[in-house]
Parts: sequence; structure tokens; C-alpha cells
Amino acid sequence: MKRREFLALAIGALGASAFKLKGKGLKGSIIFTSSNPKEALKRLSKEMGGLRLIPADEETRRLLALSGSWGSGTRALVFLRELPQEVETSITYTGERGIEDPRKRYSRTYSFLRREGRGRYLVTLVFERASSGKARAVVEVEGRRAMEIDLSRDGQYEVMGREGKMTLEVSRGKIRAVESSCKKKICVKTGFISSPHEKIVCIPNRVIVSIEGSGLDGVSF
Amino acid sequence: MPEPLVRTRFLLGTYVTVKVYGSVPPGVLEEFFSEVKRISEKYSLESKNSYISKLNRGEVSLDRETLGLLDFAKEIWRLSRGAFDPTVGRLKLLWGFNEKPHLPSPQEIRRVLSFVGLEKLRWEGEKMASRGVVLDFSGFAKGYAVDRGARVLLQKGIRSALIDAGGDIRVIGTKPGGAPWRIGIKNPRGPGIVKVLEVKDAAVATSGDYENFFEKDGIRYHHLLDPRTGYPARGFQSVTVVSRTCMEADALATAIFVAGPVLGKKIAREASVRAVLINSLGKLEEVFPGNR
Repeated sequence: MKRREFLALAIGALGASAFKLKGKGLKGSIIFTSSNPKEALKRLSKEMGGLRLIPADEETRRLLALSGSWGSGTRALVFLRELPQEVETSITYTGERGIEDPRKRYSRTYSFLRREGRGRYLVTLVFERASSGKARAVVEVEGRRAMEIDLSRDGQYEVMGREGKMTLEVSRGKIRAVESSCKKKICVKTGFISSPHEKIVCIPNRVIVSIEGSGLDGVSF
Repeated sequence: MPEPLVRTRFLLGTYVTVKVYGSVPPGVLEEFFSEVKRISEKYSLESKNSYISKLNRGEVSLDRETLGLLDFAKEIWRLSRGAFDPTVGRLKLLWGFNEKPHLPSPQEIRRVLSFVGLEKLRWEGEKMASRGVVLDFSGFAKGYAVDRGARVLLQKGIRSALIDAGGDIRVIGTKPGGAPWRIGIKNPRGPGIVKVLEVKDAAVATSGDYENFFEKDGIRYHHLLDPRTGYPARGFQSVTVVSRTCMEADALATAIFVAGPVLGKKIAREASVRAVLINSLGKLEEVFPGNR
């Protein structure tokens, strides 16, 4: 396959996965070929200090034999396709300003991917920005939205619940209840929460503190 | 994506949130909450005048709905070799997890254990006749209420909804557009999520040692008591079960948690459910149905 055809396929793959990222703001992407994508992604995750891979579609899920997301660390959408034939190793790094020279900033991961050699699988990894916009916590009292708290600023907040007062603390993008008028203090024992849909709940006070955000529909605990 | 209709009420000792996509006929959410409230009140051991309290005192007869729950509990009791036991109520009352949690003395525990054990349940006609034995469905009453609520939604033609009752989740259909619901499993130690499950037409429930506990002399005592020893079950930090119904997910999560890692895995396979197990060292393992 000529290099030009290959790039067209790669960009097409990127375009296909971009439909999910509209408006979210990309941080960057890596496109590479591999003969064993699952192994390559595991190694890449190690090299990059941890990746949380989210399959972009059914076909990717099927090829990676993943039922949900995998790993922990920087979020990355992964889009995988099997090519009609093996191709020479080709690696493309795209940053916020376009295609980048990987040898300048990503020499370690680049040399790892180069060692991968020829491959039949085209892997597109897209890294999302941590949060498009400010991270926020929402406080509901008696089922009604009472307060919105900006998590980018450390601080303390007081909430009036059904029985009494609760004090919330924001620290480094996380939030917790430090004090509460309730007896059992389960809300306080919950500690810090940071992921969308994680909750701090105080039943006697009828207060629910949760982090706003997409990506999840609920948290089981 | 269209905006869902979201409502939250405080029932079953926790919050109950229902999120519905699509057109919602008038009165449906009221009916939903009404049904959840009915079950919450009927099986609340806290209230002296609830049906379950009266049943335990031998004052009323076993009704059809409760017989169904009892039969289900027996199934899980058998499957879990006694790790899951609906007569654990007496033990829970001793430890005071609902009022004043404290460490009981070994003698107190021994004494109460004589009233714990499904095999000790006695009936005189249709009334309970085993004095001192306390039938407690809180191990799965939440799940049952969620299922009954889901039934109301389904009967009224709702095809895309999510119910969250204090972390017990039941989803109807998929999200608009066909995407599965993404449910995170809470990190049992620290903030964040350890895994994301993608589900449709299913229920997810978690039993964990981090929800309701106290510490004494550096030891954590949590509310998932082992009816065989009288003490909190050791072996897991959390167990998450994905099943068809919330009642099943709820009961099995508790059963597997109390049964421990070895028997727990067996239970998951025998019940043919997907389970995410986080052991006492924080190691995560997944069991899939049909896996040998």
C-alpha cells in the first residue's frame, strides 16, 4: 500500500472516531500499525504512565475483545481496524497544532512503536482533554438543585440540609464533606469524590453532592 | 441527545433517582415513586408498625408478595451455602448499624447467633412462630423495589430509563440512539472509578465494606455481617454483580461478598451472572457467565 493511500485510510479512521469527540476538544492522537494491537496498547500504556482505553465502537470492542473500558490513567479513545494487508510501520503523532515530530517529545514511545514492525492492524488513539470547561460539583437538597461548586478553586462551602448544616471542602479538583450535622457521618466517611456521577450522600439532611460530567450514566456503590 | 426527565426522592433509606428518556405519560413518575414507597414502608424493620415488623411478631399472616421474596431468599441462601441469610436481621440489630454502631462482646454475639439461621424459621399456619428470629429483607428489598418501579415504567411504555437507588442501578433499554448505559464501579478505597460497565436492560448492584462502617483499634467493622460467624465478612472490599433484575443483583452481591473469594466465584458462575470482585488487597477480578 502506498504511503499516500495509507495516510488516507488513517485520516479516515481518525475522522470516523472524531464523531464522538465533537465539541470536546482533542489533546492529541497517535496512529500506528501493529501486528498485535492488544499487546501494543498494554505496552504503550506502561510507557505513557497509564492509559484508560475506551473503545470507540463495536468493531474495536470486538477486535480488542473488550466489553468496556480498560486500564486507568489518561483517557484515550481507541479506534481499531484490520487492514486488507500488512503495512510497513507508520506512526503519526498529532498534537494541538497538527502533525508533530515524535522524536522531539515522544522519543520513548516512538522507539517502542517503531520496534513493533509491520502490522495488519491500524490503531488510532485519541486523547481527550481532561475536561472541556470547568469541573463542577452540583449540590441537591431535597431533590432540587441548590448549589454549583467550581472544583478548580479550593475552598469551603456550607449547605443547609433538612436537619442541619454540612460543610463541604474542595481541594485539588476533588470535593468531600468535612462536617455534617447528621449522626452517622456516612457522608463524611465517603471522603473525596472526583469522577462524574460519584456521589456524597447525606440521607438525614437530604443532600446529594455529585460531580457533573458526561462519560458515565451512573455509579454503582 | 434529548433531555431526560429526572426526579429524586428519598426512600428505602437512601435517594432514589429516576431518569427517563422519551415521552413520559402523566402520572407515571408518581406511580413509580408510590410503588417504591409502598415496598420501602412494608419491609422497613425500623418502623414498629410495618408489615415486616408485625410479621416478625407473629401478628399477621405471610402474604403472597412476601412468600415470593422468602422463596427467592431461600434460593440465594441455598446457592450461597448459608452466607446469605434473611434471618441476619437480629445480628444487624445487635451491631446497631442502623442506630449506634458498636462492637458487641463475643458472648452477646454467641447468644444472638442462636436466633440466626433460615432453618430456625418456624410457622404456625401462616404466622411466624419462631420467637426471636427476625426476618430481614434489607439485603435485597431495595433491588426488589427498583424492579417493581421498573415494571411500572415498562407497563407505561417507557423504553429508555435509568433508576438509581443508592447505587443499586437498573436500566431499561439503551440510551437514545442505541448506546449502552455506562455505569462506573466506585473505587472502594479512595476517590474515582475503577471500572466502567456498559449495560442494557440490566441491573447493577454493589456490596462494599466502605459504605457503612466504624473503626475500632485500627480494625474496620462494616455492615455486611456473616450470619455464620456473627462478624463482618472478610475477603472483599467490594463485589459488583450485573444481572437481569436488581433484586438478583442486590442479593447476589451480598451473597458473594459474605461467601468470600473462593465460594463467591462459584456462586457467580452457578448463578450465571457477571461479577466484578475486588478482594481485600484491592485486586480486581472479573467473572463472566459461561466462563469456566
